[in-house]
Amino acid sequence: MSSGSEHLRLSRAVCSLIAGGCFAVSACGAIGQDQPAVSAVAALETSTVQTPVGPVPGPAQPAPEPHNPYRGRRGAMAEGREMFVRFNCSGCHGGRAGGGMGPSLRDVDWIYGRTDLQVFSSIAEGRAHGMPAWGARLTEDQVWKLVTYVESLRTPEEPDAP
Amino acid sequence: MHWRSVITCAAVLLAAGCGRSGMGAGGTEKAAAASVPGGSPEIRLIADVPRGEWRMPAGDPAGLRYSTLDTINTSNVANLHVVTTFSTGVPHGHEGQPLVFDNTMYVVTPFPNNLIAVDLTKTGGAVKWIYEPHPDPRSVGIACCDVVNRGATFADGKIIYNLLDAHTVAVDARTGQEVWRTTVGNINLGETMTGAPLAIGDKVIVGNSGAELGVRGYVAALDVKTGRELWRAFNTGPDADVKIGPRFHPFYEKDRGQDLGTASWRGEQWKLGGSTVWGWLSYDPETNLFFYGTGNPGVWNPDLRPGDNKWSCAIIARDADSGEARWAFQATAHDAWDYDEIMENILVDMPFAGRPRKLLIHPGRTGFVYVMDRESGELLSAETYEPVNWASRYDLKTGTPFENADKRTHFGTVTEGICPSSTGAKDVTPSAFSPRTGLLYIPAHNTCMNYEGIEANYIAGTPYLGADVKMFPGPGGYQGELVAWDVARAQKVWGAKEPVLPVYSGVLATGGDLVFYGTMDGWFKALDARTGAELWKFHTASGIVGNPITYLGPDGKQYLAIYSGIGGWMGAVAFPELSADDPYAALGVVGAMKDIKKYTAPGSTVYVFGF
Amino acid sequence: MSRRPALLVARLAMCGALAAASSCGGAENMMAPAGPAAERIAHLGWFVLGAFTVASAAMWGLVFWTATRRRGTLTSHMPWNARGDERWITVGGFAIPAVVFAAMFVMMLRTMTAFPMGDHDMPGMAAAVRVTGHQWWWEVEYLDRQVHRAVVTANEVHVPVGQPIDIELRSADVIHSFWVPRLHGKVDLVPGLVTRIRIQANEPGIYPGQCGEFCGAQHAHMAMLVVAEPEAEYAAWLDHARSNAAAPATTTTAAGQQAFMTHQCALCHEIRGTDARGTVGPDLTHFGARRGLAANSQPNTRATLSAWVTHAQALKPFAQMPNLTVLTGEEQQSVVAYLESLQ
Repeated sequence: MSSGSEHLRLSRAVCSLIAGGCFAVSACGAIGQDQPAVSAVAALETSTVQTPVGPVPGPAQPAPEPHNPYRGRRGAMAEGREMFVRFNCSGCHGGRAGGGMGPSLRDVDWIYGRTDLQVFSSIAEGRAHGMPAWGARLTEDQVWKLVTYVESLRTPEEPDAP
Repeated sequence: MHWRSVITCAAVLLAAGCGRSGMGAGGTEKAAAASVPGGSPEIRLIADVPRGEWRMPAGDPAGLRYSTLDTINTSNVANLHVVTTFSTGVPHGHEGQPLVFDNTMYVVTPFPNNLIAVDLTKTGGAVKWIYEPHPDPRSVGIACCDVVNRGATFADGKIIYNLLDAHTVAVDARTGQEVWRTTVGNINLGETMTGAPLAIGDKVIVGNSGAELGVRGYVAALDVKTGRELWRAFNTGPDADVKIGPRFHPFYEKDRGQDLGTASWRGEQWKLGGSTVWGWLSYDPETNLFFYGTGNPGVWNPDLRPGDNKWSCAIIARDADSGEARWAFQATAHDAWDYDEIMENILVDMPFAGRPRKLLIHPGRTGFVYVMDRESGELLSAETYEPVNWASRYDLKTGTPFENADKRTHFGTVTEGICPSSTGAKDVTPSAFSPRTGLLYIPAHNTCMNYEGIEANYIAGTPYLGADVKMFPGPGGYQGELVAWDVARAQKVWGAKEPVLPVYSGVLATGGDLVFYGTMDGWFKALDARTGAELWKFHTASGIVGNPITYLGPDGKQYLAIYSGIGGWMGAVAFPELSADDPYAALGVVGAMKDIKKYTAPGSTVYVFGF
Repeated sequence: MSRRPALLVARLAMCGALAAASSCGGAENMMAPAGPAAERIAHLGWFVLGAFTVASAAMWGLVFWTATRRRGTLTSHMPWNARGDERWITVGGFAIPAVVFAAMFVMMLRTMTAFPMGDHDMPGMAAAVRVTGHQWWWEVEYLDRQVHRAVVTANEVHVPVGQPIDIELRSADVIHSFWVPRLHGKVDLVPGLVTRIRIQANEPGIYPGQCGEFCGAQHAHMAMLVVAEPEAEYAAWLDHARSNAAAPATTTTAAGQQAFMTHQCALCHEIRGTDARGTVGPDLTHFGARRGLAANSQPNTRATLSAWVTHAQALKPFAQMPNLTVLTGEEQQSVVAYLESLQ
């Protein structure tokens, strides 16, 4: 009967919708998966780029460097902020990174450089006057998220601004 | 020359000629002067006060910071002028004070903690030698409150002081050669040392810093000749570690019990229990006991460390030979505000409430002046010297404060308008006591705060805080005050207010009835010790957070010396590396000090004043 | 009957069966209470179910009757506002529902106020347990008058059978809700507040619960277990929980502890008796004895634990635990062995 086949088609449609939804939900698990988490120190070692110290001899081209894969992403800024508090960065660098035991990260003076790689390196390798080498413990992914938070300071996107 | 200064000169030469190296051991010392010229006859000193030299941090072991020198006095101080200046070369907080003896001035700089010996017989700050210990630069990153050093002490022919990287060094006072260097603490755990040691007989007592990093606090005794550690008494942990034994008799019930240093903590948190000793030590040669206060308990957020948290925020009396604890008084149980009690404990015998008593006077971070019987540990009086609202008063019968529950801090809530702030109604910068006026001169703050308990995580060598703090000036239109406190009557007599910045320097009282102190915007001031009138001031190049001393030069004239170099916890906001737009930075201090960059910049000068 | 109603009935029966099947899940079946609080709620629930079933049956009966009764022509019927028919509306549509709903409302209020939940209900009550909600796990602290006997664990709440246990609820970040259906209704964990709940289990057993207030990406994987044991076993368990972690006894577990300390595990987790003192993740001192991991979203077996240690984001995306693929296979297995040994 016509009404019966209609019902059947309807049921099939509904079932396939539900099934499709299930797959979509499980696929969602795959979204947000980071790249294989490499130790941050290892990442630096495999990078073949040298951070320029001063004027680079030769044709005037900036040397290519790894870029922050999370640049500008607010989710990463928020995660970076969480880690900033959780791993006690805020204890040394101030509640909103204004300084204290360690220098301010909000100001325009970057002691060790402001490029993505330089900020990454400061966090991962540590610095002489007591900045720990977090790369020995944190993954590259985590360090890039911290870099993203640091780069968001004093911008409108800064999470948890003072 | 005035005949009085002739006699003083002779006394100094006699004392120098005796070649004594500090206080005697064993409590048999009876040669201490019991009074000073013009001093109240009821006030009895337990140890000699400086009469021309300055051999230990407070000048004398009882912590008075008083000198009998009176050539500079109320009638002529207006003529005081700069005689010499020289630079230490380190533009960081110059807490502490120089030592002067044998016509030499000894200056310990902030990190890298160089020791500079200056020949006072020549003009212009002539350097005899500089000892450079090269402490580990990693310690810079774990110093909570600027890379300060609170000074050295002289003992057994050596200048002895602590390095930021938790070592203690002894340097030959004549040659500048290192005699011994002892590793005391471990910077990988966040331990540093910023306090000044105290020499007692054949021992040197030192304490550690780092309660903001979950460091476990202690005092240790080193052999003055070899630097070998003789004993270490912790301030948290089982009774054996704290050296609590059968001779421990706390006055109050709340401080009695077995193994309170573990039983008043959850689990093993006492191992991260703070209670460090970064402030001042004083010593009673008649009973052979030394006294000190302990810092805040580890982790600022109180909900993360339930229990009374002994023995943080406490005043402890210990035997100088064995380190055994004799009594302890915990001023704030289960601290919720970072009210360290490492302040000076001034020891003097004087009448209190009608009868003569052996006093211990402790102007606390909490805003209360604690007057205690230093033999029994009884709290005789606790009155406020600045506006406070965390507690209304103390119950002297039980030794506990009547706290304002609204001002207790908690996880996940912002408690607003707590007075005083974590920096306290005063911080470590020491007061002075004048036996002539009977007044205690307190460098005080009027700062309040908002405090939110947040998540905290312990990672060794990093801060262990769990608090978001924002400070701001308290009510009344001033943030600093030099308070003159009448000890016998337990009340404030006068105060000299500073409108914008706290008073964050040490104080000196002299026989010329003068009180000297410095301000964070660089003024070095002399007030009349009785009336508080400002009699003289001079603007130095940088804010003053150090402690003035006075001494006789080779020419027999009186001089004053003071460091000028802003820094320390509240002063670090003046550094270019700190941003004024984050009120939570520097553990919340930026909120109260954000204008300081207009008033002062970093400096590194030693000023000498005279006629 | 004709074809259409039969189909309708068949579909209704299927829905009913499905509903019954889901609620008969057993472990979280709020209609199968295991404690006095849940019993009260269940009573209310049955009453409401019964009342609505009766009302629904009556209503559907009337619907069928009007749909199937013989009708005449339009002209042969009285106009709609005939005398007597209004009564159907006023009585059946207003009076009876008003009475029934009023009764139900009163019952509901009485049920709600029967549970002490705030400080005003339990003034000065010393809670036995403190549960703090995190995204997305439960921190459980067993309180004690002697503070040094307090102990912190995670994700399982052990209670003695037959005794009321007062639990203090706090949140470290956002609003969560404590919901163990067979024992009690939901009580929220609100940041900045302290709420309370009193649970009691009548029988020994394991009572699973869920976070009952949406709290972020992994709200659905924030389960907890209430484990009810006879008094003596409970006391023994608590005593054991106070002890420090077992020292590693084999080379593998020793290597695992070493890997645990060297990598970032110790930055977030605490294992009492070792140098691992991180407090932002669950306490792992006696992790090996727990029945689930990742807030009971996975069973605590070797396979899932191995996967969790290196690929936590695959099991629970956006959880605070990162993927630790920096661990070599050997390190992973030694860490797993070490964690399993923490009984």
